[in-house]
Amino acid sequence: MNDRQLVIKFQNGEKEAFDQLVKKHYEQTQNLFIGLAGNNMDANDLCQETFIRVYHSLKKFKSESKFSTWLYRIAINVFNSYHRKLKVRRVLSFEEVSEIAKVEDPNNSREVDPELWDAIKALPKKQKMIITLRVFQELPFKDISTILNISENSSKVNYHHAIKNLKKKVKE
Amino acid sequence: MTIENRLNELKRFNTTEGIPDSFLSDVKNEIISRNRKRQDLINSISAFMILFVVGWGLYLKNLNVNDYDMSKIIIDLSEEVDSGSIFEEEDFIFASIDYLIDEVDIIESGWELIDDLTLHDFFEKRAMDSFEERS
Repeated sequence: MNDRQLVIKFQNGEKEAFDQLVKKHYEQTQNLFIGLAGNNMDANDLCQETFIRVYHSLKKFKSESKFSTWLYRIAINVFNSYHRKLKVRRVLSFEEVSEIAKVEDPNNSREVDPELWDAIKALPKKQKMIITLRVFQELPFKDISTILNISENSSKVNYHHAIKNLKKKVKE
Repeated sequence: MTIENRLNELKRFNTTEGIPDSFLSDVKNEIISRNRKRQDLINSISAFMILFVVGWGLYLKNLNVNDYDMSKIIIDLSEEVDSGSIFEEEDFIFASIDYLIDEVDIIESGWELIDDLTLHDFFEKRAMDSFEERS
């Protein structure tokens, strides 16, 4: 059963359709957040928050875009809220909150290439999102532009800036 | 190794496979918990609104009673002034007459004239009587 049919089922009152949507899109959402947040713990919380928002908004979804694009947009909004909260926490506690999470996370995939991870983390937020969506999610620029609500050209330019910045920060 | 290759390598290790058993139940529990909190909030706001309306009604009712009490006090006071007046009814009439007479010259002069005439007649009568007695 495809996403559209599942959405219609949910909108007709069959709540089980939501379970299937979650199971189908969990991995891509979790991976997106691992790329953006940089640790599994935060990624799991953000993923959970995204599906809660999906549950509350699914009745209003008109299927004008793909379900996955709509889901990514919600995920990006959730990440933006998280990013804002993280900034406030940093200001209030005068410490690197992400660093604490990094140490506490036992399943951290940073061990593979910590230098590159740190370089991605240090990118401006928009560039980090585009790198994550393009590299980890393998999305076309057209979808990225729809998810981030920017033009296709802008997403391409930002991607190239991100690669350029990464090259500057890590030794090739 | 180029940056693109390193990113692809990173991607291989950065993938989650399979949904944890607890994830879906955690999401559902959280949805239920938030719905309950939202319902509690709605109930609290409703209860507050009802209390506010009842409180406001009672306040308005008390306000009316107070107005009534105040008007009663004013009436009582006005009655008090009347009953406690320094003028008794009779005194008041005489005082009024005095006031009117004192204030009107014509009447005052009229009374004086009457008085004068009366005294004049009286003295004239007395003089006549004493003259008759002597004669």
